[in-house]
Amino acid sequence: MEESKKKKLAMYLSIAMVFAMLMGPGPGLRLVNPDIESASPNLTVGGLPIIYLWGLFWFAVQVIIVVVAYYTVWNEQDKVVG
Amino acid sequence: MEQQFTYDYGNLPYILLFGYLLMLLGLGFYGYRKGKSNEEDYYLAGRNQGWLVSALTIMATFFSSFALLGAPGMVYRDGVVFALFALNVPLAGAMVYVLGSKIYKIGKEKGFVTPADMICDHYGGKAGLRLLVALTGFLYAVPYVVMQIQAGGILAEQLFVGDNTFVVGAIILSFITMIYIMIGGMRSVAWTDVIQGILLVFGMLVAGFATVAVLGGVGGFFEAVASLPETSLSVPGTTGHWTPEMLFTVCFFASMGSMVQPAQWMRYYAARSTQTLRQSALIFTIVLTICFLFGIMLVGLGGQALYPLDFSQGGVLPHAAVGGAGQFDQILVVVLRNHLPELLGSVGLVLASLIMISIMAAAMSTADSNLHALSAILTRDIYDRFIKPGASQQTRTWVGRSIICFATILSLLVVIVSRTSNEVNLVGMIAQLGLMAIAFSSQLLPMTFDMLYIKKGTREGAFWGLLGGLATVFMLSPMFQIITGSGSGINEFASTLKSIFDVGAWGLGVNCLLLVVISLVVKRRRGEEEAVTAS
Repeated sequence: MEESKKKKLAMYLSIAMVFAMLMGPGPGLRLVNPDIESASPNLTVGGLPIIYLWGLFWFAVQVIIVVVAYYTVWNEQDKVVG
Repeated sequence: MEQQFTYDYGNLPYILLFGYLLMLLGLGFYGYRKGKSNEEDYYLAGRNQGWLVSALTIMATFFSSFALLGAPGMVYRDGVVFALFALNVPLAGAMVYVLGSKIYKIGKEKGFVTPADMICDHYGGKAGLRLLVALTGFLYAVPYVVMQIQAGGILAEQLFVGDNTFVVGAIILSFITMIYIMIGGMRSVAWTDVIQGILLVFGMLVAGFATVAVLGGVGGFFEAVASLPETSLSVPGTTGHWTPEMLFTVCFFASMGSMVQPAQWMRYYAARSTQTLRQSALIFTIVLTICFLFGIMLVGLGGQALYPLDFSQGGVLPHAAVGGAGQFDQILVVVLRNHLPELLGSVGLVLASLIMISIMAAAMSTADSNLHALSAILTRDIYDRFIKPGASQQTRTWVGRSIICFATILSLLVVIVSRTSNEVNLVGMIAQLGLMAIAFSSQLLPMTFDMLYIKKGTREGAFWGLLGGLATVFMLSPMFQIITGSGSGINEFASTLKSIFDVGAWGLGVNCLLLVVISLVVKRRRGEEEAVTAS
């Protein structure tokens, strides 16, 4: 892969990782957080806590980002640093 | 507190523990036989660690008693929200390559041993910056060692019958760890980390599966979890502490802060190649997060179902069978010890004992790495620079060994005094102590990113940024509250800040601001001076 394309991909992957952090354990949690003030809050989906499922989903996203980085941008050679 | 258990473990824990400790000492001795008597070999194992050793030693250093006792304890106390703390692990894994590969290359070329070697070489080697970087390492390493020794005591208390088991357990963990680091250096630490890494991956996963099995399998487990209090299944959790903003700042900065702490930094130097770190990063990301999300975090949730929290006195207290106020950390040990034999009979006894040993492995693997790094910092950055420059390599290695001995005994005393005294409690809940240590080490992040990628900062900016960050973390820490008194206005302000974002994030804010502003001012002034000189 060309160096400029690699740099661009590395930047996109970094942004994607930050986004996954913002969504998974970050403010994105508010999108799925059960409203416990309501009469019958939806705390689970298919028996699993919604918050836990949300975590599993963003874990999968993070792993995909790391695997893509592993095969594309993490291939620096051990040349001497000036 | 004294607890009643249904099952008699007999001599099984003693036999397993004895075998495990003997193996560690054997590896320590083997490392000594294989090593050379120079400083680089003692601290970096000849810079030749392969991918398996690198991956496992980085994982074992990252995993501490925080992972095996603190994290399930926090899930037990706060509910499912803290399980998402596991999402800091993939980011930490990515840092193994993103930061590690560059640190490795520069370190190998210039023969660096400690983080301060590289930082001072980049920014200019003034004493102030070196001392400050060394202090940062010290502020991370000491609480982490204390935390691990405390965990050893907690485990011994649960595993063995008799008086003073806490103190005896803490002493055994400390001294065995101290001996194998002293004799074998990094080589012994890394090899023991391999055994400990395998043990703790096993322990985390089996503990999770065991808790699910205790509650009747996957269906029964989630049925029990679904019936927990609503606050346990939502954000910000039962204590109201884990708002999404708080969780995000802890996850984001803790993950990166943990990966620039001195012991990890030295592991990057010790790797054989960047490919080694590349493979380590992938293994770290996938294996560790699975261990958290599908293993250890389930213990905290299942623990809440088995031992409901006590909300009767206004706050949140653990179930009486788990421990007294604040002893949420013991949930894993209590669940395994009380329920695994019931489920699996004698196999359960063996598994429960093995998992307890794996907790000890987690504690020892982090304690050894931090003691070893602390020894490198104090020897290379303080003794060699300011006390006796020009000392022989052999002398420096022996100074390093003496530091390991002194730091171990001091940390052990802190743990024992805190445990036995009703007035002095220097050691709080394991997880809180760990998060504070990470907040200190994360202050190295701005200068690390600047040094490796941005390259715009100046020495003055780096120095004042780090100083400002450390001071901010200190002012928001419980230590500062003890010094100034809990009723003071500054403490109320600090409490408000701490309720919004993690302490480390506030420190990083001040740190980055000072680094950028002072670097700009210094560069501008230098530019003006050069212009005057040229004219």
